[in-house]
Amino acid sequence: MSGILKTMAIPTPQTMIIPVLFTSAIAYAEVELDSISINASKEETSIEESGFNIEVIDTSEYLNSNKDINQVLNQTAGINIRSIGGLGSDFDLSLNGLSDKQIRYFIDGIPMEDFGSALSLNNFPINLVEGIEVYKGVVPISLGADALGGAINIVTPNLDEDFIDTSYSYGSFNTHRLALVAQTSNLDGYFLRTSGYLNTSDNNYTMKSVPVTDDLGNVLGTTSAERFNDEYQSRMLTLKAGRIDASWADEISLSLTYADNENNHQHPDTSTNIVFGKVHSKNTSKLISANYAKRFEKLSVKSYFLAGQITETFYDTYSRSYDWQGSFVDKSSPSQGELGNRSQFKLTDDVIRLSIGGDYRFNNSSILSMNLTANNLDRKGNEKIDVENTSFTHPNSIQKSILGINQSFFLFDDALNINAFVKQYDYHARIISDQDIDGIIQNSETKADISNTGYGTGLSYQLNNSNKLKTSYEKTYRLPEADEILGDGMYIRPNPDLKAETSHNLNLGLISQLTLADSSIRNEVNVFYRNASDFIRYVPDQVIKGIYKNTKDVEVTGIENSFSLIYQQFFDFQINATYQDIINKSKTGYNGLPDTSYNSRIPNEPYLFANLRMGLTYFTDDYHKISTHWSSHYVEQYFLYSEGSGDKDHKREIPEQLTHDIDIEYSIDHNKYNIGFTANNIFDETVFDNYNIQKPGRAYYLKFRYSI
Amino acid sequence: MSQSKIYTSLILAASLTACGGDSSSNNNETASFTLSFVNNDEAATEYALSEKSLMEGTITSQGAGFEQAGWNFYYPVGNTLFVSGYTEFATTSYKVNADGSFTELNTFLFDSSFNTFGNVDDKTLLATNSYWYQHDDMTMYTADAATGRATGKINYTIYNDSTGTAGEGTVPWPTALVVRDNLLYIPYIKFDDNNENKTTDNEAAYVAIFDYPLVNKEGTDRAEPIDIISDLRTTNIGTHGSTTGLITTDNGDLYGFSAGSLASGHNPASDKPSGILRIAKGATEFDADYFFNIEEATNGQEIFWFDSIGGNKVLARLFTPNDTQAAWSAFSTPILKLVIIDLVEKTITDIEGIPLHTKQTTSSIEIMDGKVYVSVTTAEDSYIYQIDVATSTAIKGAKVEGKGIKGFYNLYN
Repeated sequence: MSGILKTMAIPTPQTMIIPVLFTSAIAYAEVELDSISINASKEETSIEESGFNIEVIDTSEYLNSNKDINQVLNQTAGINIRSIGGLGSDFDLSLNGLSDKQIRYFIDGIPMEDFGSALSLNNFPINLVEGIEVYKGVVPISLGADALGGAINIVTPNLDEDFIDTSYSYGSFNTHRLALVAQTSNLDGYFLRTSGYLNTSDNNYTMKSVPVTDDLGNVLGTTSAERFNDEYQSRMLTLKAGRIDASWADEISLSLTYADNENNHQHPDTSTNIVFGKVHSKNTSKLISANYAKRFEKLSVKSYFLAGQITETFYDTYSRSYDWQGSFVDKSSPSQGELGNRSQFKLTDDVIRLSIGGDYRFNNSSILSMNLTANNLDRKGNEKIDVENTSFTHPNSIQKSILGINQSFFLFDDALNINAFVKQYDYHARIISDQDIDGIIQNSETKADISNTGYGTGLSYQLNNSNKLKTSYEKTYRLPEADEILGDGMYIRPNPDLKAETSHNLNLGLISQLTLADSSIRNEVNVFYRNASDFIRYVPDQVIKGIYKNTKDVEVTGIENSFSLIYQQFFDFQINATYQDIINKSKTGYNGLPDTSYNSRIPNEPYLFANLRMGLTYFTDDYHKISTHWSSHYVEQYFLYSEGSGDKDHKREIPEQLTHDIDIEYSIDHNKYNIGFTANNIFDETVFDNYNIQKPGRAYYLKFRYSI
Repeated sequence: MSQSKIYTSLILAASLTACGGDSSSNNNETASFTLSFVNNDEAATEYALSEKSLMEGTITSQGAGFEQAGWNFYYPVGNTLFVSGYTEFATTSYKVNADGSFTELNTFLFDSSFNTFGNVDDKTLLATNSYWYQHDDMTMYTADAATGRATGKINYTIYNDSTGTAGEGTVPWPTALVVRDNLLYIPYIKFDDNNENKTTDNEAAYVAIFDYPLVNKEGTDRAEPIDIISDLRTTNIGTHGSTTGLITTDNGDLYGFSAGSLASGHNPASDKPSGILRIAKGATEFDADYFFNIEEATNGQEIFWFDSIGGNKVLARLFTPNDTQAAWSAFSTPILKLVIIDLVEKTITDIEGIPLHTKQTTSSIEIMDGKVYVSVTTAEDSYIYQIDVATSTAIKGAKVEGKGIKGFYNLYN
């Protein structure tokens, strides 16, 4: 990014901290669907056995530990999550080498993109969800998404159950997490569900190396300091009610969700050289949705409609310079905030989403499915203080629709499952803005249209009793975000010629299972290949104004292996490891010159990581249970910039991480009353996911959970 | 800054003849040049690179160079190189030790990034931030080249003509910091104050003159100019991102260049011609008898950048403005050519053999053994050229395996 870029000085997507407002593609809505359409009429076939490369994480073993969805996902083969701090901090999830916007998130099949940071996965205590489905690279049509690198779908409990699950945890850094999900279905065919969470943390962990300066800023050394402006709070409440198992509907329901958060920022995402004492952001999300599902004899249909409004506001309103001790001096420049110009910038997104899909079962071995998802986003920006910043003042909007058709075959007594699908992506974007066209301000409208056809296949074959082979392929697309194609009306110029990011994704896996009298062993090995091109990147080509262009091609080759052993419900052991080579395949940069890093590893991306989890469970009698687990997480060292460039002694690196956690749980009365103790990073290792941005050290949590 | 550029050392000559060979080696003991090298990768990673020779083989950051974070300005003062980061909010200094090794000196932090630099007597760095449209005081830092440490900072204002209505006033953007005879001269571009990046007040050249060192005006907490001089013969002095809008020649005259078209970042374009003004030695006014009308002399060309190369000469980049060029396009399209201008004789000599190229920012240049090195990046490739100051001729040197080189520094004498 150009150093004389004007955008560096003001909150736009190019500044360091504002991505908080823009990258939270993850969110939540509470609507039920049959989990996966292709299997809707084959309930005996778990989705894992379809040809797609899907990892289904059963959350039951984590329910008593103080974990959120991200922390569970981060123990999964092929997934690495990088965060910049404690509870509620920004994170980047990578799945088989693709990451960020290239991964799409769902809750019960509904896309969560643009739902706001209060509904991102790190807010969800694990006991609100029953399972997490991870679709690696190839995504079934039922999810109706432009997911370049895969999808993650959160599955909540079935609607015909009655339960209460509530928990409270307290721990280090003054962290409180309250979670509740309760449901009754004994209401003459009606059901009522409520779920919610409340998370707060001071995140005041100790930074072990921050600069000590004199009055002029001269760095005299380093010291440790406690974070003092990093408090986070998020809240969510969902109410859902409806009718189940009627003759005319298996489910018809209405759901309301409110969520908000407030997030203080201690420093920019990329540097601890400047410190904030007041910078913060707030998000509110309001969602309403309705859905319908019915299975007839051969036909099943399902549909949802969702509308919502999401606002994210960024506050840099104090003209102050802070230091790591928490003291400040007033800036002599009253227009300047702590990061850039004094600013209170609010983005408002209105979303409308609808989907209709169905399966038709010709016979036991042939199912045809179809799914149409449409999505409308209107975005508007409003700046309260820095009134000359008119980014997004004029609304811009995108509409995208994805139509998918899938044919599924089950042959040879279901030993062979074949899926073949086609997806049609249609995209329209529009902005009206005052644009500076070579010196003349003109009110102009920019439109962009994209149409792509993707396709894919999944195949699984049961080789014998213990081995299953799976392979899948998809030619997939990620459609541009509104600001990527339309600009912001100010600092980002529109690029109507922008194309979708595209990738060929290929998986080959072998699942081996061995069940003995007193133990079971499972091993899964997957080889993955991604040939992705036209990555959308910001190009600062005109000093003040930049533009998004398709500039980068990447090839990913990787292997992941997970092994698990369970012995007599007494001992369990899981280990997984992932190695991925993410190679830059761009021969030239946006300027047309040869790319210096062509054919070399993409920097600042983990390429080798592994997880271990093992535990013992004692049933003292039918009534009481004690279990203890040890978890380890490893990430190999990697470089911030191109590996081959620069003197080895003067390169910026993200050092190797190896952390260990302990969980001890005690359950009474068949898991009705539970107490869990969690110790994270027990050896207090100083660890980083991002260059020089330290993560929390050792932390203890105590969790109380009641479940019936 | 001219003082820092005059290097006629025999030691350098000796070291130049003593080495050669593998140009990609990082053997500091025999290196002669320090380069601010930019990779052509996604991050455009920058390296402070030590090289023995610039004239053969390839220049690459493979396995060599001090890695820098983000986007940086590079500015040499004496034998110290200051690197100021935009994303790190830090200025780190480097020097060469007695044993020839390139080492980090010190770091100081700031909270508003520097945009313009200058120096005093090879001993002191001057650095200032600036604002695009805010009527805030700027801050001038001084740093000691010997230690790399900040030695002072003071708020100052140049021209704060806020009318209270955005778009009616303008905000200054300094394009050079020059100290002569205890006076600090700051030429500047005037941008509008409603964030449209317009240069609406573009019918005059302006230079603010301060007492140096800067002191707070009595009863205030900021320094103010003792005078602001203006001249209607040309437009605002300097281009955005350059730090040599105004330079000193060997005899102590100051010369400032003005550009003024859309492509060079002036919007709207000025009606005044691109040209060069003089503030003669001892004077604190523009020299009414001196104006070098570049557009007239070149049949419509415009100066994008210049820097002193000794005597009365400057090395300059010119381009031909036309109606099809987009705003700011000279910063990213290969339309620039190199010339040597004799300021007193008012002659322009094309340097033959150097293709049209693109250049966003150029560190202040140093003359090394009568030669100046430039980085020339076209749409196809990037090469170093060695320019002989005396003969105005160029020799094509090493190929640059990257986006280009921001500057060439001699920190070895």
